[in-house]
Amino acid sequence: MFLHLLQKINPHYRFDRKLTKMKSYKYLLLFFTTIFSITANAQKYQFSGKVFDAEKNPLYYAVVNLKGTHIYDLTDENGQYILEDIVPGKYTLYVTILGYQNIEKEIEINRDVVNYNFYLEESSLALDEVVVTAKVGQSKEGSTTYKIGSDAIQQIQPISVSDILQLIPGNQVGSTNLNRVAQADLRNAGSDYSSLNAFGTAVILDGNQLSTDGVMQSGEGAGHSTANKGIDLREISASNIESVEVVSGVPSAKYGNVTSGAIIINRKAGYTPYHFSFNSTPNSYQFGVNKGFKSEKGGFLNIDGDYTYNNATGVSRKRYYQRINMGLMWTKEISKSLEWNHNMSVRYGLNFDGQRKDPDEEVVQAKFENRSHNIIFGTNGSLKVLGRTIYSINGNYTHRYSYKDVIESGPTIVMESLEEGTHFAGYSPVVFNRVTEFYGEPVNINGRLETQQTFKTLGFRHSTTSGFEFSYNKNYGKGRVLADSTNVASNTGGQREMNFYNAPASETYSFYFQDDISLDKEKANYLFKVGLRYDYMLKRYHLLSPRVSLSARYFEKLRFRLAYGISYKTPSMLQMYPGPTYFDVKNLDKSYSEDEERRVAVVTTYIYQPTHENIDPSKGTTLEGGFDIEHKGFNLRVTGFYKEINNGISSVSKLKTFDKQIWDTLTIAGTNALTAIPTDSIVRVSTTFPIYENTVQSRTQGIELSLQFPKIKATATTINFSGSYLKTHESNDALTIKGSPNLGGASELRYGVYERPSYDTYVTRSNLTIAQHIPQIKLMVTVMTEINWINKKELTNDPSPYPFAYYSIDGTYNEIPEGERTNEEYNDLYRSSEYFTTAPQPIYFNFHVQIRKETKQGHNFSFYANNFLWYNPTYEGKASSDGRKAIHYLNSKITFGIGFNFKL
Amino acid sequence: MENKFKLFLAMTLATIMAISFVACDDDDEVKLANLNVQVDIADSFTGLSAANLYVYITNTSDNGVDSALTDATGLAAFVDLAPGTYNVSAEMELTAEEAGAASGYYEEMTLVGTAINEELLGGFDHEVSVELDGKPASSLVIKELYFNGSMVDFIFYKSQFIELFNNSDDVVYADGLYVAMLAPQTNGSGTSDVPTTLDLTETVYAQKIMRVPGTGGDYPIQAGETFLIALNAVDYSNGGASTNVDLSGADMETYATAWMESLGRTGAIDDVDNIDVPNMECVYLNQTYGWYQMDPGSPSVVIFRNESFAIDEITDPAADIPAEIYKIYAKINVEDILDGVDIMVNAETGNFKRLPSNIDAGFSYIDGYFTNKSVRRKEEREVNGRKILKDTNNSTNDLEVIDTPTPGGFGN
Repeated sequence: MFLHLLQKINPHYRFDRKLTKMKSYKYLLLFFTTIFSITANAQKYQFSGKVFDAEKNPLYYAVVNLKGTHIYDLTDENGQYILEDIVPGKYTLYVTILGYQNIEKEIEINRDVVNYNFYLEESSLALDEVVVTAKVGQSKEGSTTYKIGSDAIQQIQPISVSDILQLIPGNQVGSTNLNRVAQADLRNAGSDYSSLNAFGTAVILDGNQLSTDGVMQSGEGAGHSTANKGIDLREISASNIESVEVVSGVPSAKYGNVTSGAIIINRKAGYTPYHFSFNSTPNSYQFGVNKGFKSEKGGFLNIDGDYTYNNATGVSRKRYYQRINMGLMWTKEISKSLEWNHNMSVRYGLNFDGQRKDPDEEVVQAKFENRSHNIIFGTNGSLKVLGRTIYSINGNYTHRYSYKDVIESGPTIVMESLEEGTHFAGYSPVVFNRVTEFYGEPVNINGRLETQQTFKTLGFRHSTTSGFEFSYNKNYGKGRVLADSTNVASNTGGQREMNFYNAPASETYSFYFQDDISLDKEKANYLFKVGLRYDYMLKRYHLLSPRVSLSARYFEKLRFRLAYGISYKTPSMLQMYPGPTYFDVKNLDKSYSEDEERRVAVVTTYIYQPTHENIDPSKGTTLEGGFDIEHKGFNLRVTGFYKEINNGISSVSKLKTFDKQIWDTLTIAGTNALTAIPTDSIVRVSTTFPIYENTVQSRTQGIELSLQFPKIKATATTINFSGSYLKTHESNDALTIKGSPNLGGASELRYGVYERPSYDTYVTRSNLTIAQHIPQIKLMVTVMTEINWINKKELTNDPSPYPFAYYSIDGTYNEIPEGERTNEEYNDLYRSSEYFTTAPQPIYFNFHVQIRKETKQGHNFSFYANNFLWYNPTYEGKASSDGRKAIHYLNSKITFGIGFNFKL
Repeated sequence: MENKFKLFLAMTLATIMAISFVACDDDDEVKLANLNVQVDIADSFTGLSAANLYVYITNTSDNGVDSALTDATGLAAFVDLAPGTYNVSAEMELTAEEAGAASGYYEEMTLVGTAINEELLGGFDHEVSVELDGKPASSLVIKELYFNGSMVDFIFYKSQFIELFNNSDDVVYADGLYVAMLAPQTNGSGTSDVPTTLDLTETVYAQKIMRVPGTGGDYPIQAGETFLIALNAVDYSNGGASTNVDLSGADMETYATAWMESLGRTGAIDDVDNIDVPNMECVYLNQTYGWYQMDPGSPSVVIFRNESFAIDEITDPAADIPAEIYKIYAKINVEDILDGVDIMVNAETGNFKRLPSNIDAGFSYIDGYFTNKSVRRKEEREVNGRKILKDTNNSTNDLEVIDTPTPGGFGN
């Protein structure tokens, strides 16, 4: 059928069975583009009306949208909207404007409709419908999405986006510690590769896909690096966010460079009064201000500012974090006839991790500082050309400086050579400072051009999206700089200087096409989404990601869902272009003397530049299915899923053996001074060092459940139960190379080569949220019971604790015959994998309470207490090697916060 | 019969309860404990009487000391003691003649006996027995152990040293002397530390062993002189801090890197080889990466001689699965030991002792890490300008904690 079609389009097309994969991709694309040409001219209708506020004043710039299509309009000064080109069918009409409660209405359109008016009420706790939980469903962004609206966000008083993610079922509510990198960890129970999972989660801020791909700073102070990790969510202020949508299922074809879902953040755009917010917890405070101006000529200017300060704990001020976020966003309708809306924004962010002297400390041995200035420029818009055309271009620039100053004590050999070879070296004094500085300037530019069409053919309603996207990542930073050139010689691999700007840019060009096909029958509605994405990554990979989903809804009560998708994530630039590794071998032993003339040190430097050009993108596959039941106010949603990340990148140990030529000292004739000369004696020294390889697989299967009980009308109480069961299997194909773990005191070390064990981690959590709403006094109280059912890590593939081969001191590789591996002579290499499992946690509870009160003037006061019952159960950890068990606390300590939000 | 027994038990219980209720009424009174210490003498010493000996008890929480004299049967009675945990010790000094008559060794010696961590409950009488035992006092003793390290200039443990002393009136040669740090490496400082489950009567266990080189006449230690073994023979006061020690004049230094590399292992970056100071020979070091550093909290050190010493290893049976670090130890015969000192983390960790009581009946400790404090043997007396250090094989009595280390002498 497909081939026939191609032949029809192109009579010269020759059927070739030896189509290469690449060629077939091209033809597939061709196929999708031809769909446009067979658009049937079905009857189309108009739908128009006005949008007012409760006092019947027209609302300007309200969005009126038919969900699941690209048909939307913005109201004019009179509140007028006109939706055009509507093919007949059932739709969900969605009306939204900043500061007002949304309206969502199911409607059937099979004729022209005029004067369909809406009256929106100002968002307030006085209204009957206030949603304080994440709303799970499917949307045009993906097959399972959690939509978190402004009421839910306000209820939990978030300081950063990472706090908002606690509303996702299965996530735990934690205390606010902004002194460490906070990453999303969607649909993952595993503990060993959660950064890898987070690295594959796209974070999209006002249409701009943020990226850590170009971050190359990995050795900076206190583990604040985001190299090879996900977006640091603590850097995104929560104070000006209108809504967050988390895609945990199959994302639509529009999203690329992703293996583990997406987080879509929308900031406020439109008219708002002045909002001043203040939040405080025992270890942090935050001020925020935002305002949306309406300009004379139409259009809006939104400004926001936020300052946050955080100490790692409430009791120590030693480590602290500061954040400044400022933004300007300008929205304007440029042409009414073209429905051309244009949006431009500039954002600035400062993030600062530092430490100060603790009053108890006499001297500070190590100081660190991480400071990043981040500027984001974004512009996007949509206009009615070729259906609807959407464009966006964004630039992200970060200047990230990290500094580490450690006072070290010597004397020790100082080795600063950047060249291979044997060098004379000197000794450091008894006390010296070692200063390391990094200058990183990652730049990301991404753009998108997309057209959207809606048409009807053969009774099916199509809503198509096709687009082109590019992404450019490069780091222009100076890289790692060792001030004062004090690097201490050792024969373990260490990194010395490394220029980030030498690494070539990482570019991705993508095309995508998606068709959302819907069919409405008497008692059934079907929605079939078929999408295909093509990525040309790193100028060598042609990657094809199909994404399909099917949803069937019967009697408006029961829905079945099925979705499948493949996606790819490009390796980070640090993984592709790591700096050289330096190995220093000390050639002369007797080299120190109090008499400086007699001091002589000889060091041989070996440089190894890993070539990681063969690192492949990692691949994510998601399959999910589920059903929804809506009946008498009950709303049950159950989703089962299977998510796989293949070709995950991890650092893998390799062994390297060097020649160490022994040098001897020689007295310079007539003096007491010494010099050194080489001898004939050479010994071999070995060391392990890490390189990156595609060796990790992570497979997660799980069930997510969400059950909304009917609202108890008499008391305005809503009850929501949600939970997830997750099982993650993590494995790593890389072999483990480890020096003898059980070494005798005078025996030779050898390096065993072991197969790696793999582990299954199980996490099951659920939340019962009871929201008590008292509209009369504008009060909302939510009590959340977190039940942690299962948390355990088990060894699933336990390879032999004995190695199958070993490297002897001179670096020679020796296979151990299968039958001999358990012989006593290999006892020194025995290495139990059981050691790395954890004891299962018992079932335990945690209770949180959040209270929000709105005043007559619309100001908000809120209070929360996490673990408010001060319930701190403990459990015994796994027995350590000597048989004793450590006691672990399960809940974090009681924490609370207060917040004020003034509206002027 | 059985019923009667049960009845008896029930009545006893009832009586005890009745008494305790009565006692409870009297709630102003703090109930005190009584302790009887029976002092016996080891079988290897004959014809000695345990009468008229001082028995010392030390409260482990406040370090309060009390003493009592034994009666003719060797019994010392302590009455009205505050309830708590006590260490009990007794000693008997023998002149060379007395020692010779009792044991056949005509050498001054001190017999020592201890009981560690005896828990005394209020309102009860307790019995503890202590056996006095000893061996000939050594001519070579450990004079000072500087293990705690210094925070100043972030030297930490780099300036550690072990200093020996010739306590006799004749020259002694250090050649061939073994110095060992005992296992396990730490004790009582971490939550997962356990006392070694190995029997400590005939064998003790080392994690690091080194040896003074020489053929018998190379490293003399004159009577009343010290022999300084530095971790690094470096002048650490060069950083500008006069409180840090100058070890550049050490008699011997440790250097493990070359030896470690010959075994395929890795030495410590901080291990410096001073060309002007001879090195100790490396014998045993059960680390993949490491050097002869002592634990800054609780090292126990022995010196021993055995011309036919050979490494005989044992795996700590406390580990049911081989863990990754420090679980294999080398055996040392107790009878080879010339001197040893047990250092614990604090006063409460006496049951972590690594030495039997005939080598060290007590222990010493320093509160905290990197305080620059040092542990030194006390001066007993001076004979013709030659110091004689106290050596009763009981570190609790023989050693004192001093505020700054005194390598090469006594700091005066």
